Amino acid sequence: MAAFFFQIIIVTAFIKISMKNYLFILFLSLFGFSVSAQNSASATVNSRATVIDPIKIDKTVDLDFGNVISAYNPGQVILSPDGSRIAYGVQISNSIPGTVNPAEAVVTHGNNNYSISLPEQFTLYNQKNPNQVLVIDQFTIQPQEGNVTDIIKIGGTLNLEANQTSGFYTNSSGFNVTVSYN
Amino acid sequence: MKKITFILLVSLISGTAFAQEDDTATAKAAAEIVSPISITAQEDLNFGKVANNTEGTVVVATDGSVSGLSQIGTTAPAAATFDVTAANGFSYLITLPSSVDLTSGTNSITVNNFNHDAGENITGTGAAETVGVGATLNVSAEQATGEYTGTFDVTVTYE
Repeated sequence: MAAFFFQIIIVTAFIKISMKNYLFILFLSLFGFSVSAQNSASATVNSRATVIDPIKIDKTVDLDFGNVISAYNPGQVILSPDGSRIAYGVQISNSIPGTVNPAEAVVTHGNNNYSISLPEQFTLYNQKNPNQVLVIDQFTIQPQEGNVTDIIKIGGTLNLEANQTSGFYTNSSGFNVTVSYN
Repeated sequence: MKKITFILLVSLISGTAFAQEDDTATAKAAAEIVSPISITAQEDLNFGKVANNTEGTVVVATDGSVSGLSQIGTTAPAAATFDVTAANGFSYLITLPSSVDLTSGTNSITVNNFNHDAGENITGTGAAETVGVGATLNVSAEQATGEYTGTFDVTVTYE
């Protein structure tokens, strides 16, 4: 869609002719057009248009915290965007870490500035018993920047309650990652 | 006569046009929660009854068989047993003490060489597994008579 720049000055003037008032509205262009004593006039206006591709984000990898061993106390596992995990109060197994993946998405931005938004928290449910939940919060981002596309890696904090019941926890929906041009 | 030409200009949208300002992707998330490892004591470790006039050892093996100084009477020696429940497929370690002193009043006797029968590279099955623990009782040359008792800890840890 092309866009045109116009500068407009509106001048209103009252001109009294005989007993009546007439309201004249004169439109003038700043580009040198002026009402003159000629029969017609023309002006040259510059126009400019910038067209960019829509911003796009495609998820490539889902988020997975792997195996986490619950404890008698509450605790957290922090999964960094680089894929490393740190456990507080709970335990992670070195011999069987499970499938550990930070989420990954590709953003096509055409070298324009953009912002990323993630939810404040996201809930997982025990497949065997949906009354047992895990909350993920404090999502973190690590972008790998390119000229046209960025690869965004996403980590987060998994919060375990005391004696969190064992099982596979997930959510049939996913969490949203939104990108917007600034 | 002057002619004024009115040119009516309509202001159009100015600025860069964005066809689509934002986009959203959806990512799934998952985690597998594993139960903590647990251990419960079942049988106590028992070295039986031996005479104190001979320095020597009483060795109770993990299966409960005994060797060393002769047993007196009908007190049956026994290995200690523990039930360990670890998640299926998860490796764990068993930690035993290096030595423990049993006491009878002010007298003490040393138990060492603790060992278990779970083998190397121990892996959980999700169900309780029985582990046998044996050790060596060291009878000294001037060991006072008496009933010696004590306790020892066995620790299991996921690897």
